Amino acid sequence: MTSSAGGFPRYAEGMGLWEHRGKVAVVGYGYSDIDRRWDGVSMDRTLGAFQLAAMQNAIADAGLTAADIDGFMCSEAMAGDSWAQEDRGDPRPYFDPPYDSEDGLSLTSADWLIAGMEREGTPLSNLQYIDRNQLAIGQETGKAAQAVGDGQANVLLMTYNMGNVPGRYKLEEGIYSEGGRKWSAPWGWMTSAMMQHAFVFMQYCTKYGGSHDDLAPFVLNQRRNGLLTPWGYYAQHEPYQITLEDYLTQRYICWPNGLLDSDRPVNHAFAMIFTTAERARDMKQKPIYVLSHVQASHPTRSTMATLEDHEEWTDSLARRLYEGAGAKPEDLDIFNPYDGFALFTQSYLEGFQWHGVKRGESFDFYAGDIRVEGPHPFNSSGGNLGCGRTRTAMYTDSIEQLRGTAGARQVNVRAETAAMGQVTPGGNGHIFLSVHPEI
Amino acid sequence: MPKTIPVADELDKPFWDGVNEKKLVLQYCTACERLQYPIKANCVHCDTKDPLDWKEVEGKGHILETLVVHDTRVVRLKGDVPFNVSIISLDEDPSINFLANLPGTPVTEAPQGAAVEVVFEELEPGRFIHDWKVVE
Amino acid sequence: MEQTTPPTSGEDGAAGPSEGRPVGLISFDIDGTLTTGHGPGPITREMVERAKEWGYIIGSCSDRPVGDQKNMWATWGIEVEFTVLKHMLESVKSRFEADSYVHIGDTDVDMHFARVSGFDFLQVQTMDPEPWMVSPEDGQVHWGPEGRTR
Repeated sequence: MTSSAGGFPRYAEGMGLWEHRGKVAVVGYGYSDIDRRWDGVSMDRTLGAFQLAAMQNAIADAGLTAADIDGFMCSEAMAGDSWAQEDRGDPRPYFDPPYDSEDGLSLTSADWLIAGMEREGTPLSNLQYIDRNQLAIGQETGKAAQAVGDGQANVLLMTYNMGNVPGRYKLEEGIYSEGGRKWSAPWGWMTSAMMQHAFVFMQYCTKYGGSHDDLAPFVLNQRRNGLLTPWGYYAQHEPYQITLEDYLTQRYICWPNGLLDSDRPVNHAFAMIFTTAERARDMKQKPIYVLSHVQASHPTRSTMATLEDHEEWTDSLARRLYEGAGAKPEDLDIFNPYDGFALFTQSYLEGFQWHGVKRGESFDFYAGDIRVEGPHPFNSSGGNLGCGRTRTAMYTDSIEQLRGTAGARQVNVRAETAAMGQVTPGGNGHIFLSVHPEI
Repeated sequence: MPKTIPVADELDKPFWDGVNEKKLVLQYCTACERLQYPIKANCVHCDTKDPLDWKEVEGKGHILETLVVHDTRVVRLKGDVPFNVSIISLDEDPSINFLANLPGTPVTEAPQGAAVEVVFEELEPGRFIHDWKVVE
Repeated sequence: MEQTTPPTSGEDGAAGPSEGRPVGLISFDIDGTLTTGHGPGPITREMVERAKEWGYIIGSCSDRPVGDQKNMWATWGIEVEFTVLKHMLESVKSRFEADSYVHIGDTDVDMHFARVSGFDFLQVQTMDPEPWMVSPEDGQVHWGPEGRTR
């Protein structure tokens, strides 16, 4: 069995149209329930059980059976929150198989998932292609599309999960710092995601004007969109809207990054089915064509990447994704960029020039009408901030908007194309979808 | 602040030896003639396979921005929150940046854009670490 | 359900509410501390209600938005004196005069804000049961169904 897609990743400038543009389609998606944490008791609510449910739901959504699936892709190393998993502490008590190890509880291997499907009576009995990668979903979706385009699978089931283990994030005990941490921990630097983006955000405010509080309309709207997403964490478990006062009085972890600027870790799983455009033609769902995918991986040249770096990187990202799709900014209807921290989403908004937003214009844009009902329904998914750190709301929403099944979130503007991705400007993958096989 | 103590390895020992002598000695790529910090095995700017050289720099810089840490994973620093974490650009090559706690500057009062100079703080007898403080 | 052998008496030797006791103030964290939290903690509605009956000034101090804290107390049907964000605990001390100030929570963030706000801190997973936690019916401490392991 093969395990890599030849045309992946797509990093380079000037690659032109994606060679499989419009020849690969998304024909199904599915997701699981959502929890903050596993309760340690309910075997139908482990991360593994969630992921099997998401896979089965995706297969059903596509009108297929498990036997129709010939390609399987999952992210093993990134499953759950790998960083937090290191902090799991003492081994927990394990259970009878299939829960006799961590596999299936807070992370999932391809083998566990494939065996699980068999156990559940929905065996993936015709797999020709299995990809056990270590990618986040932004990159994974591009790799899945490429694998189908390259002919490595005809009907590919791609799945992804995010988990949340007990306790707080890893504490750094002791008085010594080794490895990469010696360049950061002594001065109290915590995580790249938070402090790196807090720094670039400060540079953004210095260069263009504005302040942290200018993010309020965006963050409040993300929660609003999340509450309109029935499966999302907040809709399910904490169904209240945050207020401007909540935002302005929030607790800061590292100024200018506060609790409400940060996504909440959750247990959740998602799956998508990719197939060829030809096969998609007669399937249950209207095909959503893949027009392009690109990835980015940029080394940090010093201690911190700068605003200049992030702008250069996201300019390149958008240019390459549009080029691959044969599209221009005005062709992009639905835009669901990543919001794991609210502080960096404007890098993508401005890089993609969605609705004409140029560098330095995001705060004015956020202050306008960005509701789903309005003319600029930005991030109609609610993202991680609105739905919890699933990293998948941007995918479910984009598919639903293009199918016309987004319910209360269905936008009033044209919804024929969508772009989405994650994670950060320095390392990410993005995909361009369309109801038409070309622009 | 009781900073954690960096443990030198073979690659970065020249840097920490310099710090222990109260000098700021950075990597220097003779192929592309650029400084490098933090210390890494290869040049981040060019594809040279040549080993990187070392070059002492003057230790003057400016504050780019300042963050304020209110909650930290670093247990040794927990008693000191909130504290400044500034990002300092090096005057000799502004693409090089450092973290700093700005000793002597009260939290939230870090003057953005201000000139700073390197200082060396003794963490254990003979073992120093670099920080930056505002030039009066 | 986990049970704990209770202390034999309260601070003043009384095993129940009484006039003239010192006025205590108890601040409850929610998530990981109260059974209504995400995830559920070990302190039950009955315990909190009893603390109030005993004359403690009670309220919540949590990272949950204030509106949600109020919703939670409304759901529990308990009127509280304060609902504040975690980093605003100090404001409780300036608003209420009491002989003792205690914050009960489950994380080091709770401990931090208790300390900087002049509160005693009780880590819910390891604290000794307070007298108001004891059920008057059987003299036991009935922690919530999730226990105290979180």
